[in-house]
Amino acid sequence: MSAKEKILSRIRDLSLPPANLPETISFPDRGDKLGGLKKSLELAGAKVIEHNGEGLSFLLSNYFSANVSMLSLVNGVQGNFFLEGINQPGELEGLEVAVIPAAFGVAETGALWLKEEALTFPVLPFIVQHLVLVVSKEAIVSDMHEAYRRIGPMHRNFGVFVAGPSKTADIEQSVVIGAHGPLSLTVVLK
Amino acid sequence: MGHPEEASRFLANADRAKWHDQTLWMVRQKRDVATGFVSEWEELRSVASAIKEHTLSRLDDYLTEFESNALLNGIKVHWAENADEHNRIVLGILSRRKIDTLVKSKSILTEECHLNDFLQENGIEVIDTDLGERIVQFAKQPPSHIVMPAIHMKRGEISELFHEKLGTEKGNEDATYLTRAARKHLRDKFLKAKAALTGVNFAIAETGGFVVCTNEGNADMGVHLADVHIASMGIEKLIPRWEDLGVFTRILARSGTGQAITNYTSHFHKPRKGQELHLILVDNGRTKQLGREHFRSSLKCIRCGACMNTCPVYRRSGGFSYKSTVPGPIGSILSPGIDLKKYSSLPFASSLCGSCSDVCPVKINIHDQLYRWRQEIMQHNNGQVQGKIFSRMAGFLLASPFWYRVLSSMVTGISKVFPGALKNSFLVWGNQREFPPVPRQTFRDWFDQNAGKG
Ligand code: SF4
Repeated sequence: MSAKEKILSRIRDLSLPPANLPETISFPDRGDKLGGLKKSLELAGAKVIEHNGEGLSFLLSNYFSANVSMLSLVNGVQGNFFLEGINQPGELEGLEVAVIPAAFGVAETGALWLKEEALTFPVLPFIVQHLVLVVSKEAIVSDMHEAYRRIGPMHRNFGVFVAGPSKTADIEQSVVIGAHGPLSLTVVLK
Repeated sequence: MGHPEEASRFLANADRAKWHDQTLWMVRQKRDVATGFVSEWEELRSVASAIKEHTLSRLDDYLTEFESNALLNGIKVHWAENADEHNRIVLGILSRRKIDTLVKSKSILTEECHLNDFLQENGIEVIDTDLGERIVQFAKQPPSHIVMPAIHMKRGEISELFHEKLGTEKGNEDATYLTRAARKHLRDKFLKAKAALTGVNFAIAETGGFVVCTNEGNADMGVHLADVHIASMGIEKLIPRWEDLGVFTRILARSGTGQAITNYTSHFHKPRKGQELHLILVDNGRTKQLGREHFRSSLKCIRCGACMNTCPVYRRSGGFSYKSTVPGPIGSILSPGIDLKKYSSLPFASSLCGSCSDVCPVKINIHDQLYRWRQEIMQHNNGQVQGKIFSRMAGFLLASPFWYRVLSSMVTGISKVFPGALKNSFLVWGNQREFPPVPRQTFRDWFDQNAGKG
């Protein structure tokens, strides 16, 4: 018998009494989703910028100098680093700023959904030194239940909820922002 | 040596023990704040518990469903009956591709399987990449906590270790400085590694994929750069439906660290173009535990760490005193199931105050199970071992002011029975104050009268 058969038959032989699976749950809208998302993100150490009409590139130039390498996957933001010619994900090492669209945000947790389709290289939001995520103010759901319903069970490419800059508290519980992933997270609500 | 003796060793350094106690209590308080914001918290716990109970009751079906969906997605699925099989599968995958270095993110299962030692004996360099795990790996120690692996170490020691291993400035104890040094060192490893191993927080039967949660981003740095991704999971990590993730991602980090959610919640279903994705389903005693009626529900555990942070005994005795892969209250239920003789003192490393059960996000009745193990151990040994453990505990309690205060945690239990009678007599933890008055009941009397009633 293979390991698989042995494990499965051991479980089967127990003939455990059935226990019911509860229905999936949902909760009524919690109101002020934009405010909720901002609060959650700030609590997690992200910088949140509300975009009100001015050019996105101009807005970001207030935060990042023109001398640093910047990749943009967002319309309306001009970068100076391009994915053409990048073959291996490791070649992204050293990239200073990446501006990436998030599909939607979750008010309750501050989580922003990034899909492989929008990243080209899944390592991008992790390997870059400073991450900028752009999300529409219209694309905010209230909680994680709604978030998973929105994505649906058919999504097979890589996807990640990002809810803050990478961080650690492994040295005496002192919080240090910038562990292995980005040193900062900026979220633009447009 | 059993838990009491190990705990005495930890307590020998009073300052560290006090720091450990207070720091974990602070994490517990953060958990309280985070869960307090969620008005439906109790409903989430009930639903999470019911989902897990259901899954465990039909685990064979869900494993089969998961495997067939994972295969359709392009994941290579392996099954391992025990630690040794698991380790050989990992080695096989690496050897086939002539890979001699593995970057690893946090996986308690691979600790349980002693994978690192096995691979190193076989010529593979293993690099733990979670900062806390890298620290303990440098120190040649196992993790002392499942969420905060290096919580037993002080920054001076870490600074010294980094000076020796990474060439940081001697005496520089700044946490940011040390973290940046580790970042640089590990980036280099990530960029070179051909294979990366991760644990699995949740695996979804419906979709044949799995979720990995981290704060540091180390799991993702590893797997998205490497040619081979190996994910190791215990068979109890399954959940039936995609939507169930909504429940579990809401409770995991809030319980563990007091964050609303981990910074990165990564969803894997298929290999990246040109990559190999392997998943190993491991039993290693889990089907045995599943067959133990009274302990079955311990398999609901999502490894959040909350029961450790809240436990008055864990906080004051440190993770190493348990000498088991998973320490603390949940470890004291799981470990005797693996080796009853070796871990017979663990179910006694508890005041049965019930705080663990109160914070557990999947509602495991941890303290009831601890009491149950005590009974089984007593039957098993005709009372001999238990008697010995009680007397060892007693001697040890009297010898240590810290442990003396551990007694005080029983107040919670006692005051449930005699409301108000003992209020203010002790503090669960406090500053160096005079010895509190001795309770009128002895531990033994109290235990005989009350334990198991809650
Ligand atoms: S037993 Fe409960 S509280 Fe303890 S680690 Fe597991 S899920 Fe968390």
